[in-house]
Amino acid sequence: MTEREKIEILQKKAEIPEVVRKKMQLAYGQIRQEKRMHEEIEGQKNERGKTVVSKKKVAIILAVATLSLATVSVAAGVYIRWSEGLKEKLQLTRTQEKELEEIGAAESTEASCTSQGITVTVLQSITDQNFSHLAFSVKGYSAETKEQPDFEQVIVKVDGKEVNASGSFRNFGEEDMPGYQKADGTMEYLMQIDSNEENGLAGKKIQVILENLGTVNKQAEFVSGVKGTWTLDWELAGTEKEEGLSVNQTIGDTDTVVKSIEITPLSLTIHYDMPRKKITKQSYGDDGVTTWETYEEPWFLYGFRMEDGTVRQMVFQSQEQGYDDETTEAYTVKYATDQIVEAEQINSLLYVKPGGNLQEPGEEDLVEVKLPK
Amino acid sequence: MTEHLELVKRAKSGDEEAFIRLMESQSDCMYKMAKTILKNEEDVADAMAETVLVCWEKLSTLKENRYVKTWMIRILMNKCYDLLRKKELLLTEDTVSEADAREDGYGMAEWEQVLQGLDEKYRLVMLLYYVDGFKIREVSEILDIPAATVKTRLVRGRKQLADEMKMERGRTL
Repeated sequence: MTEREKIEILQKKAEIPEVVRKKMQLAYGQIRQEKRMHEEIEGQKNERGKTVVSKKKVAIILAVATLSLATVSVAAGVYIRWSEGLKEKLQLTRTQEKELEEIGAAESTEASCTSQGITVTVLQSITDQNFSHLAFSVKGYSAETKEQPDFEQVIVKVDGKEVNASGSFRNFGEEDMPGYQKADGTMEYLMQIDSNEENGLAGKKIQVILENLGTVNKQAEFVSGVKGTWTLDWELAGTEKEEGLSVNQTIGDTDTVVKSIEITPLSLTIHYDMPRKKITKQSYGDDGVTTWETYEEPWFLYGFRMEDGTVRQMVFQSQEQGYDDETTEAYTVKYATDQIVEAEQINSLLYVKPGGNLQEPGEEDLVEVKLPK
Repeated sequence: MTEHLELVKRAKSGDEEAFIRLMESQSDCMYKMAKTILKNEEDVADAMAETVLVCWEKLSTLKENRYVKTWMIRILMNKCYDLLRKKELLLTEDTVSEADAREDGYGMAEWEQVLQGLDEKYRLVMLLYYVDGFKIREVSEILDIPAATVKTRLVRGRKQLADEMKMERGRTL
């Protein structure tokens, strides 16, 4: 027998023994059962006080909505349908999904608006006191090109006040082979908003205005496709869950003290006591070099060391920071996280020393601030 | 490949039947890998079933859909080695079971006999490269060894197959 023939034998399909097949069938059965139980739990949840709108009814609402130029329909409190894009973006496990549902952070609504034959529907929101992740389904727009679709303008108001918002269409394909349309022909627009208000986002009235749908070309310019305005109004459900910890530890050998932290499922707020140190920064623009004075910032927060010893790098989606007022040394940084944070699983905060590798720091680059238990 | 990725996407959105189809499409490669490491069919069954359950639980953590096979094989290998470690703790040197100790080729499938002719360190590399179709870089990631080592093992594995062939010819002459 030649070497080639031997490799061909290796490549032949194996006969999987009965004992293995039976065990696999048992595992599949377990998965099917778990799925059924999950669906039953969701069904019961709806019976306990939430308005259940059947899929058929939703379809009727959507059909009526398409009759006018820009008609709006809202059917709040629909059972939770998880947005594929949001699940991927936040890297959610099933356990985390369940927890977000249980604490009331994840909600579905059927707020929907149709204009120019394109229907935008709110798929889902995940909201805590500081941040909200929103997912919208966009139906009726053909993204034949591989160019990234986008809205020309996005305005978000919470209780009538404009808030910071950023969003993009989810790429379900690969970086070098993008694919924005799902198998059912819809696309998902994912948005993140943050609140500047003390009293947060949960339970507030939200209005999202999306204007003109087109694509973004290689020069990052908006290329108009369909002119239209889609306005969606609904009430944001959300959780007020927040874990506060008093830390009172310095970062390495610096005089910056981590006073306390607050962790919500979507955000992390760190309060520092940080003596002001003036530094000079320069930027290079068309007018030449601009120099200005500012204050030194806290060290770069890389992520967390978890209870099991693993390091979890956090890619913070947005960050607000600064001294609390003109005179104080109290400095606050508020981060929106890219993953759901489970406070009880965090052992310590990991900072990167100045000059250390920010992307892939070695252990020698990191300084740990342990959290109290 | 497109169908494969479609199954991953559907499975990620909670479609358990798509997930089961995905796992079934990989069962041949899973079985060969597990059998090469564990040898005992009962253990292979346990490792594969546990891998299926872990993959279902953790699927949403898979960042790049195209790496699903690499990811799944790594989980399977970890399960296999976990089982081996547990067995090592349970068994003393002189109580190795008959099934585990069988290295004489009796009752083995043809593909197992071919693998049997290779040194143990070349078996997984050859399987991953020639049977499962992984690239050298991927084999290196799965086995956690440098790509250069993968290349060397492939060359030496092929050489062993060729040497064995010469020996077989010698015996028949």
